[in-house]
Amino acid sequence: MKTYKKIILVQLLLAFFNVVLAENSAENAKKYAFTGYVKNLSGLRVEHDFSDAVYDNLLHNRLNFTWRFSDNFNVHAAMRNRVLYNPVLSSYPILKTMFESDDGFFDLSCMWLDSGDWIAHSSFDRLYLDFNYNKWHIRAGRQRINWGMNVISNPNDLFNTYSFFDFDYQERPGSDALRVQYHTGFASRIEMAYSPADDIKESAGAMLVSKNYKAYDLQFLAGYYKNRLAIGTGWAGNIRSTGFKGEGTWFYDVEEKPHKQRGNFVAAAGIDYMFNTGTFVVLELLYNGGHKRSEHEHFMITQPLRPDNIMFSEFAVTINALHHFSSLFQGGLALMTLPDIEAAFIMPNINFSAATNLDVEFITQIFAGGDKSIFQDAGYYCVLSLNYAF
Amino acid sequence: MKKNKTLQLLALLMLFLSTKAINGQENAAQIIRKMEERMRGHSSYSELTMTTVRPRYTREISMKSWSKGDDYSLILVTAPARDKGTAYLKRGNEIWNYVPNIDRLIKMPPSMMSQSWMGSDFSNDDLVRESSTIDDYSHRVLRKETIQGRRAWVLELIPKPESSIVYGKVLMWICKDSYVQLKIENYDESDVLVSTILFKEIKNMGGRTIPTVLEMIPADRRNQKTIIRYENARFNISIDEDFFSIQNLKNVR
Repeated sequence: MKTYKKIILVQLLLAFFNVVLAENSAENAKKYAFTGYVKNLSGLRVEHDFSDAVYDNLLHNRLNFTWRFSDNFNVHAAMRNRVLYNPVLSSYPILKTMFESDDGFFDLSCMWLDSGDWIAHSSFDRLYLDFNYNKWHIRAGRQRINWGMNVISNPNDLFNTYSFFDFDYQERPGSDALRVQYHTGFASRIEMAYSPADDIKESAGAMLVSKNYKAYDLQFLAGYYKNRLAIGTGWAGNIRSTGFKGEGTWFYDVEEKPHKQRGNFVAAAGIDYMFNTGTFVVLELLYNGGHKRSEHEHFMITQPLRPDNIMFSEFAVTINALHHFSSLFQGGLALMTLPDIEAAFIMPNINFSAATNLDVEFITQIFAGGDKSIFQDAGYYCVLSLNYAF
Repeated sequence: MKKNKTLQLLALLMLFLSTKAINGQENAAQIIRKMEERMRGHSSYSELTMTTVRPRYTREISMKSWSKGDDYSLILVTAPARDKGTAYLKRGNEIWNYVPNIDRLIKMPPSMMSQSWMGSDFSNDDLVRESSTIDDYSHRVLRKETIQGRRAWVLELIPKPESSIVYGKVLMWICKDSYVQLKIENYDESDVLVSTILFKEIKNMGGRTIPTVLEMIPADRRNQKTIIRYENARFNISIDEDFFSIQNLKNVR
């Protein structure tokens, strides 16, 4: 990390604690919340011809702290600690690099064990100061800025893209940003967000205006995204009793590049419906106009993509179904087809609540695809997850 | 001006007395109106725990709830740990769900309303919508009966064709003295009993005498029910419609 970043970080932390200490001396300051979970994931990856089976294990712990030192101010910190065993780690150093990568402006992560096929890593994926006053909401630090309206694909989500295939990271990464929101109505707001980067061209900054109109949530956004201009819109409403949502963003290079189309459009729209049986189904169509293939793609399946290249193909059709068999048993099935690269992804899962805060989940990921697809070598992956929340 | 108001009040009182005199007794709509006033108030705040009881296990979920009239409601889940912080906002026919750890706001489809809420025997509708008993049904007094040691009216409620209510018929027991609900039976369109709600442990809470325990018992499943226990309640609180906003959905605690 560069020295100036360290200085900024230390100053920010000092400022945090100064405020905390100053406010703590006040009478009603002892408000804090502490939550988290411990999760163990035992996975088995099998090749398509069942020739090779690789067993891996991930111990995952999450700690969330919130200090509310007044009605208007709070500090939130969330830490993610992981210990991974994977017998192919030493042969594929790129896996290690991806595991420890911290995409933020500040590097808030640390690899504290790196020995053969074992690695252990800790990072803060949320660390922010939050200020609420009347219609204003200001948040500074590492945070999740969710501008998406769809259930599955979010081309409007400029600040925190995530991978649909990374089922283990439901919190999704945060980004280092300053976010200012001004609420103009019960479902309307004006918002500005800026996320810096070492190279200013790699930063992102945008403005969003949202408005509730005739029972539709509408939003419009415009800004700068990594040396590109971005203009987008999204909606969430209903057609009778069916949910109808969609979002699209048009990206345009600030500087023209040779052999590259300057602008591209990414959009997704879908419907969601709850059947009388209690089955909740989402159907979503994605057009990823900016699709570009990159090397090492099959290692990147669980890595976040970019909003201007949101999927491994140009088109995707996804159906996601969720069913409550009882108050303890829940089953899900995701089917994704990527027609232009002739690939498909199937993810069935069952979740069982073994005790009040203990969940057992079994997830299978089936990747199928021909020579030109990213899923060609991905095979099958089964995971047994045990999750204790506190 | 003042005189005018007094006159108006007098006129209203006369009107009220005269209808009473003509009918000789209160009609179903008046009973329901009084019951709703007693049970809900125009606005309310409550803390409650919902227990889902199944033959081999129970699960509990605790929440805080704010409401104003039939149209505005906000629910915050406070336990268990896994769901803590999840919140629901309802304004008219629109419902939003907020999950704080991913800053995720999802607009829920209306079809979700009539479905089971988090695996319990209550539907989303039972919890957040509370269809208007006055406007959505035609109603009449069926008979008088003694239940839980209290004298009660038994009302029959038939949903109006244009309403979205899933039941074919609802029977409602209302205490003659206190106007609190004592029991509800929901029937389907073939007149078969679907579920029963019992209102129990009637006591003083938030300055009112109300049932503090509700039991929802599905008719077709043995040894299965959902219990709602009110731990705290306040009525006719001063709460603005602005409170029921997405900003508050994300901040309320």
